[in-house]
Amino acid sequence: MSKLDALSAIRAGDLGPNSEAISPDVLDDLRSLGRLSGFVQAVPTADGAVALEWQYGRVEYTAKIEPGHRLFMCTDDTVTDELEETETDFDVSLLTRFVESGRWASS
Amino acid sequence: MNSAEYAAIEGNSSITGRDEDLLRQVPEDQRPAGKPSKQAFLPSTKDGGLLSTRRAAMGERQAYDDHVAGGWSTSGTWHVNVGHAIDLDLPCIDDAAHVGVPHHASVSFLDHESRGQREQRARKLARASRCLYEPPAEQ
Repeated sequence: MSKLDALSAIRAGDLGPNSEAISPDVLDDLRSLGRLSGFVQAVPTADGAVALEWQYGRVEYTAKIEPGHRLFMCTDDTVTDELEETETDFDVSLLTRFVESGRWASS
Repeated sequence: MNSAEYAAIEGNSSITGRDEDLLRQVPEDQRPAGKPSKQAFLPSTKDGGLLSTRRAAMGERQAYDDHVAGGWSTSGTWHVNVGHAIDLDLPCIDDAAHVGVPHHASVSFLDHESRGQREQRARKLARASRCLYEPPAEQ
């Protein structure tokens, strides 16, 4: 079973009381990303989103693909606790840049 | 509502014993590499900023069995240390009477409006957590 199939199979309640199935919007956005890099973990959330998580050096990166074609991105320095975060409409090129470079700004 | 206001609701009380380990159920889907993702320690929107746990007095095995009996899947019982949560500005509140679930306690993220701050604190809870009970592997 592919990771996408596994995420599609998650039903309401599978992640605990009040948890939701992964939203069809989220699955569509995930499909548009194509194959995920091997270092990225895709984790379902109780809100029907999928969190992409990876660590490079001391920084932990999170990109949450959320219902309504929304995108939350966050970098968390595990040593200094310095945080950066942003929320925007889902944009596959923006997310691809974040996964590849760790940055969401174009410059 | 902030944590102090939630703790002040009739029937609720702050948990101050720093040595207590609260009991959190972690679904298999939120353990992509064996260890729990921080998503397993982050309250959902519907949870309103309150991470659901059970008091240590319930016991890790009973907490697991009760969760499964409720119809929900879990890979096992993991811990959230009260002292560690307090140090992260995550007050722990016994709200069993308020929510109508025996031994229920919430770890409150209510004082952190930034999503990044909540993710960071969940990351710290997940990194510190250890498994207290998981069922024997099926033969």
